[in-house]
Amino acid sequence: MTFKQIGLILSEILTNHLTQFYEKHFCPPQYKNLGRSGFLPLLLVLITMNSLLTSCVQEPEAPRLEPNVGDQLARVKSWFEENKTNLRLPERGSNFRTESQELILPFFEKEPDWDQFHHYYFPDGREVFEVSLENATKYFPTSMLDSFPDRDPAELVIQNLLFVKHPTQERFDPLIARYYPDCEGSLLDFNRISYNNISPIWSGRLELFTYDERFYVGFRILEGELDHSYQYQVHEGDKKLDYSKFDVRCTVYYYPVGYQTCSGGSCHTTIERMVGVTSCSGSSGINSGGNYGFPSGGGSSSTGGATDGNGTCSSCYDPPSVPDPNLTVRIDLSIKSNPRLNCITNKMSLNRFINEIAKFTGTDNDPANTTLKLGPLSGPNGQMKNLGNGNYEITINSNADNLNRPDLLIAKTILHELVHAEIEEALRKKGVTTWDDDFGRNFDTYVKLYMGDNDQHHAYMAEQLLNKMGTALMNIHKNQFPEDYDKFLAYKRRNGEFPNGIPLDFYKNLCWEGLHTTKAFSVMSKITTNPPILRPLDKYRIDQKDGKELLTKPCGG
Amino acid sequence: MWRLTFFLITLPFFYLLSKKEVVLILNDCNHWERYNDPYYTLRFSYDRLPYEFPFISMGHRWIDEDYKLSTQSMTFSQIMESDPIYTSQLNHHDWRNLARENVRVYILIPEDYCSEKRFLHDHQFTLYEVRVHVTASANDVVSNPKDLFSFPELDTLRRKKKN
Repeated sequence: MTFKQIGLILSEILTNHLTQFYEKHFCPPQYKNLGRSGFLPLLLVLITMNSLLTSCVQEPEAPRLEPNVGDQLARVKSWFEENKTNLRLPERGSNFRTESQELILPFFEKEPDWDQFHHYYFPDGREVFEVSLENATKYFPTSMLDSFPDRDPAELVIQNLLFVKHPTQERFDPLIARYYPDCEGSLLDFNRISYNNISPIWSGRLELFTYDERFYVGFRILEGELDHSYQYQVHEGDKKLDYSKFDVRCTVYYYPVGYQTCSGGSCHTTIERMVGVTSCSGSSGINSGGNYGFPSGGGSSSTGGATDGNGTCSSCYDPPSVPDPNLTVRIDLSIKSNPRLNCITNKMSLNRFINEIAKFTGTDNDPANTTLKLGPLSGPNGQMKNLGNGNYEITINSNADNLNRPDLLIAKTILHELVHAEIEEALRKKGVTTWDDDFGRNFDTYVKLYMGDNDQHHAYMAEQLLNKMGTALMNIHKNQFPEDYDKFLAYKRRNGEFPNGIPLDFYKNLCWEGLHTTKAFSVMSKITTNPPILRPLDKYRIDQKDGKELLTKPCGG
Repeated sequence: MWRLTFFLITLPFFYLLSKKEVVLILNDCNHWERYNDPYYTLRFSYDRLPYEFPFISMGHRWIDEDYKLSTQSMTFSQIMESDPIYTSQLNHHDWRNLARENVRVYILIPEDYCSEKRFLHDHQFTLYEVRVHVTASANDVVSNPKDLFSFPELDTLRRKKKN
């Protein structure tokens, strides 16, 4: 018997018996394979499987660094080594400024531990490397001595250096971040807290200092939520305050602030003085938009361009502006291990609206309040589950139909589910959410309309959030998938459409999917027009079709 | 253990067999509206009539050549041997399932099926690979509604305007 004969017999057995077995138990009967699988491809698959199985020898896990992140970190380190002697604000050489209430701690040389770092992006897209300063001199507020009477507070403080990439130049101006926990329950190690990832269990104070130890901005955080921010204002002369000059959301008062440092087993006071403190409720009281800049010196740093006080020095230290710290969405391993989904969520995390809802983190062991994962669902593209106590789980359907969709449509599903979670969170917080300044009133309106409706989330989305969701999707498409955007726009323009770019309506129409049961959709679908003007429902149908047929998968298939 | 062994042995077969193809015959010819791509010839889609939920569409369209869809040539007898599905027999549930199956879908277009070509001996029909879209009535769910926060009474919702 020749090999060919053996092959034919095997092929026949497989075709006749295993196929029947498979079709009986797994395959819907009406779909039948048009082609017959030959023996050769079967053999190839067997060999491939064999090599795969034999190669699955468990190896000890070594820390891995994505090559581009590693390269970038090396550039940060190199830049720091070159520039660290220049990282002092010009014309302000004294460490202790007595003529104002500005708080400046004694400067010390800093040597970051480059092996411990967090990598993330601010909402405006600036890349950040937060590197540990664990072994450097640590300052902590004297109040920590009361909170931890039997401990050395210096051991409990997390102290990091934030290198924020300049938006246009190859520079990484640093800020110091110090995390002062309130109590034993908030003691975390380096891996479990960062500026972009404040755990819901953490309470304490997070303070930023310039590289040369000038107080920058502080945040009071209670169980992962930003209670208020504060800055030490320069105040000359009389300490009697004129409250009319201040924003009513902010309160200004004086109190003693003390910072200590420990060395050789003993702690001593290094700074203790009365400062004028402006404390503002909410996330963005001090500076509009939740963006904090250094209050004095060489002008705005958010616009780029380092300054020396006169706005002329391109190599001098320019403390970067920073946004609010925020809560986090933990990216589950099931997403991270899927290169395409990982790519999509990374791109989404750069979008402003998404960042108003949540921060994405890739860290495994953080108790983030929302988990985003990939998993099987019977039908829907996504699912949001309220786990209680402000915790949510979002599942993106792992079935082929869902994942075969273009990247932008998968991003739309994730956005849709995040909004579900945010609506729940807004309800939990009695109406406080960053994306709807007047959630209470708007929700009231919609309660009046839909009391008893069991699809309240979708109704609210359709009535109140479609513009924001559409805009977010448009910005993701334009800024994060530019090739896909350009191809689609070019195609449409060849047909004489979209002369001014892809309109917001296109993205809103993509977002309408899933909202069909709402009254808002019903109203929209009943609008009539005179031909040749298309009805909104026809536009919706065409946009849906174009989105599914013509958009692509820039993150890979 | 034997189950695991069996699974591992048969896994590649299932993988092969799961890459299926299915032929759809659009036999309800009057219920399909053809949309010709205005720029590319031989790229089109068929939309189910009347336009009502769920919208059903099958597109043989692309603008990026990496996403090009294929065609096949078959005689009518070959098509019949492939156990085709007639679109007139599908309900909404079937359409949704079809859209979710990891299958390559080829269509015999109504202009060909509802014509004399069907009766010509050995006439080669072109089957077009399409992407099937069934617009969902709800493309997501909020799990366990009883676990969600209760719907607030009008006067209990604190109106806190930020900024």
